Amino acid sequence: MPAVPHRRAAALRWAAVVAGTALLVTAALTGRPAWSAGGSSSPGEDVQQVLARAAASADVPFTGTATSSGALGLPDLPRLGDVAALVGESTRTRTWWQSEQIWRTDVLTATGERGLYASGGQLTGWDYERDALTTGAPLTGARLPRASDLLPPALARSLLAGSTPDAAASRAGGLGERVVAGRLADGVRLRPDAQEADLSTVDHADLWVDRATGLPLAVDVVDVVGGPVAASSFDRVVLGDPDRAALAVPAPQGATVRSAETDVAAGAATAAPWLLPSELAGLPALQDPSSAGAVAYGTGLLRLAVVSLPVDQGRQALRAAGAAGADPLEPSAQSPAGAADEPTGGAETALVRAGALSAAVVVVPGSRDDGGGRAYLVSGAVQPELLSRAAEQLTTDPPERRP
Amino acid sequence: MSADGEMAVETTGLTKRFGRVQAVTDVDLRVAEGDRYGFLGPNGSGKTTTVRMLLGLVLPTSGLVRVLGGRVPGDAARVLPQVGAMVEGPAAIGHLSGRANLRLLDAAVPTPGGRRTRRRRVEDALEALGLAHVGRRPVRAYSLGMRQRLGIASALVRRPRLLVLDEPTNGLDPQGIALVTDLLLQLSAQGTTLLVSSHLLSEVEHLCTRVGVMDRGHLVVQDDVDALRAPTGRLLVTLAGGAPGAAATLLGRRLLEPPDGDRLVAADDGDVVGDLVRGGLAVREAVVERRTLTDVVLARTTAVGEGAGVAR
Amino acid sequence: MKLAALTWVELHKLALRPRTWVSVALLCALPVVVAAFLATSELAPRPGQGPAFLSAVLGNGQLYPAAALGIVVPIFLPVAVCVVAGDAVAGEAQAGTLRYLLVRPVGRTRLLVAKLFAVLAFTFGAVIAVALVSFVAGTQLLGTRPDALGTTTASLSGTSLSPQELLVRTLLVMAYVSVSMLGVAALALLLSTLVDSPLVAALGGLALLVASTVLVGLDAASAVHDLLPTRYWLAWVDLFRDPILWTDVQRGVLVQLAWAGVLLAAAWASFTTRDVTS
Repeated sequence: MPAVPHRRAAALRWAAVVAGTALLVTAALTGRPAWSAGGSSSPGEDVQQVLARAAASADVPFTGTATSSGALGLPDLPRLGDVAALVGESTRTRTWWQSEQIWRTDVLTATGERGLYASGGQLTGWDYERDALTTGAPLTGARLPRASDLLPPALARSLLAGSTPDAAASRAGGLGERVVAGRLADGVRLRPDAQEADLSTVDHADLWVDRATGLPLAVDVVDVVGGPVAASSFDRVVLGDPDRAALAVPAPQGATVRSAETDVAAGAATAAPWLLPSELAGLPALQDPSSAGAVAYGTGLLRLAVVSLPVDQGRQALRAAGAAGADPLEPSAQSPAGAADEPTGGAETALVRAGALSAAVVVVPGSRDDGGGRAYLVSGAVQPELLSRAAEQLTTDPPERRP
Repeated sequence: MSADGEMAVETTGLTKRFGRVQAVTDVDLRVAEGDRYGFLGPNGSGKTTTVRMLLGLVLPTSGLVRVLGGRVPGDAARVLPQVGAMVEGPAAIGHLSGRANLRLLDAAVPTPGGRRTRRRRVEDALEALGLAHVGRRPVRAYSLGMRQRLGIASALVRRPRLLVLDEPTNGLDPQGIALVTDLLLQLSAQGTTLLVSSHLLSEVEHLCTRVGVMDRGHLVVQDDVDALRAPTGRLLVTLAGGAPGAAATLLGRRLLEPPDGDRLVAADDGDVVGDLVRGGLAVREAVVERRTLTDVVLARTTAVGEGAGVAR
Repeated sequence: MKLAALTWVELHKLALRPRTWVSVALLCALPVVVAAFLATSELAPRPGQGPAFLSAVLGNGQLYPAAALGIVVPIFLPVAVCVVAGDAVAGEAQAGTLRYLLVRPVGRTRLLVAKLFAVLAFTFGAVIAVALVSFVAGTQLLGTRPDALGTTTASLSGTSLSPQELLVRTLLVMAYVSVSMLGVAALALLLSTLVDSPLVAALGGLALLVASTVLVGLDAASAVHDLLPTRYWLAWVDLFRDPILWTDVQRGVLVQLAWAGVLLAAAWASFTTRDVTS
């Protein structure tokens, strides 16, 4: 039978369509190849240099969108602000960063946005859905985590804050290079040292640092069972000075304006009559304890956050945790023998664990003239052993009153 | 024979399979320009599939189609404007009037000649089928016969050189049938080639000069009507006033069947009537026997249900 | 030239069809009903609960066109578009008019392109109608904010938008919402060339919509999220941020173009090589 030309044409058409589709899907799935990444410079920097540049990246200006997520399920306590969502869910942010003093970070939601504007030493918050502007929060000092803390550069810097670049580099290994948000990045894996490893629930943290500027582009913190503790990475980033206009604090007509609600940590700093020690459970304080009622302690990847609470709030939290089935802290391995029946020196404690996070409420009873006792919230991605040590020290070493 | 002229439709080894079903097998259709071609065959014989292949709707599995000198589907854009067609019944947009339907269809592929000429042609086509005065009534409210007329009118708008009509008189009343038949004969006289498929064999016999008969996907007969209806060689004689015995004696071995009353069947050698008259017998009527188209079709096709499952 | 004539014919067919106007009217009715309820009850959805913007429009009806598009985008607009796209070729096949178009002869590629244009015209027309009707409903029923005298509107970032900026952004939302329909429309059109039932073709387009919506909500399918046609449907909200966040809008447009490109190419390959037996 004679050949039919239209049948060959049909086969060709289908072949073209299938080939085009395959090409498109491949392109969409593989993303941009490394050779097209921007900002690459000569490779070969060692781990120490990469970490030093990452630690000093606070003044690298950029504009970008990032996605961060945490797997720390926090109990929903009043006045915790967005913290539970920040450390427990996925958050999308858009940031214009000029310097540590001047920046703007928006939390993007499907139906609105919550902006944070840093300028003139103050922090202004904007919430579209509440149509409210919150002014006058101090930029520095004690506070709870906020969205900007989970940006890859901020998260990386806080991970590096507990040690010098040299010390960090001694526990770090190179991960090679990868393209993050269209830029070539060098990877470094940080691990707790042998001593910390017993006390930490963090297995390692991976940092991906822009080769051209030293800006950390992605951070992954992984716990000892391989689950994520926190992850943050840029989806898109442009290096260089941000748009000035975007940094201007808005003045929406008709919006409610109120002064900053004092969140738990900042409130504790002013309300707590007791100073926190400059070293806790063998860990040095990362902030000046005399200026804050909430202090982070740590070395390497080990972090312990302590908040000094008003004692009645501490008792409330204790009751809430007890009702939720929390057990008291076990005595630490370092506690004096024979004290086992009276753990942590007479203080009432409750331990809450959620994934990699451990938190303990410690209430130390006291007489009426010292305010009825003391209360602390101690938490971190650590083993309960470290919390027990901290609780024992807080209980047995009576602190000084604030001047 | 008209096959000497230019071919309006010519297929070579035309074959179509739908999956595992062989719908049309190796059909060599020949329709000359000016023919009135009757396309016959029982349901499911492959008629409609063949017509669809002529119009580029169904693409052949193998074989070639030439229509008005061009390949289909290759040259369809050049050839099909000269073809008017109605396939498997009329179809129109129900909520629009017949006129609006024809205008829209005509506007879809504008021909040279401008808007007024094109409107004129639409009016002419409606006029020819007696639909000019239906007005704005939507096609939804048309009777079956009116829809059929609209379908034919639609095929006529472009004044085609080749008219392909499937069951053109389906659903028409006797006046409608007469109107359409006259119209087709008139168009044929003006040089239009007709390809008409129909079940009504008598209608085709009356209208067509040439027929093709499909059966189970094969073209089993293709010939001029005159050739198919050539005399069978038998003469049917009716005597006036009896005496069949005398007639039988006179005719001798030329008598083919025993006489039935005053009716005789004789072999036609040209002298039968003369011999009877010379023998003193009165002949009321003598008819040369011809096969009807029905006989031809029934003899060459399989009755419905006998054939293998064949697609339309 | 020939394509223009055919497109004109297809647009006429669409416009002469009562169903077209009924579906546009229904699309417009929903935002009007919502506006009426909002105006009488003054109860906006709690922050983060209802469709975007509904809490803001209570004070400012000028934002309502965008909010109304947000109301019809997830289901009503795609349903209307799928019905039209699914009907494009299958409807002609079912009515029997497809064969008469093709023997006229209308080239198959050209017919497909003209049908696509008609579907796009319907989509954009419906979006314009919804925007206009909801603008009237918004300003009449919800009013404008008294202290702002209707001159400014707040963006999601709290900055003020002048009426011109608001108009530009609303136009951008209309364009983006229209483009967002490309994926499902292209699938309905592809199915329309494959089957002879307009209903089946329309349901096929909606099946993609539902499947994509389910997968977008499923964390386990996060590997393919960015390729799903409904993934960036709500990104029109980003057009009301200040400065506009283009990332998702751009990705959304690219995803729609990719789906439309693949599906329309398949529709073309299928329609130009198939047997028309209807």
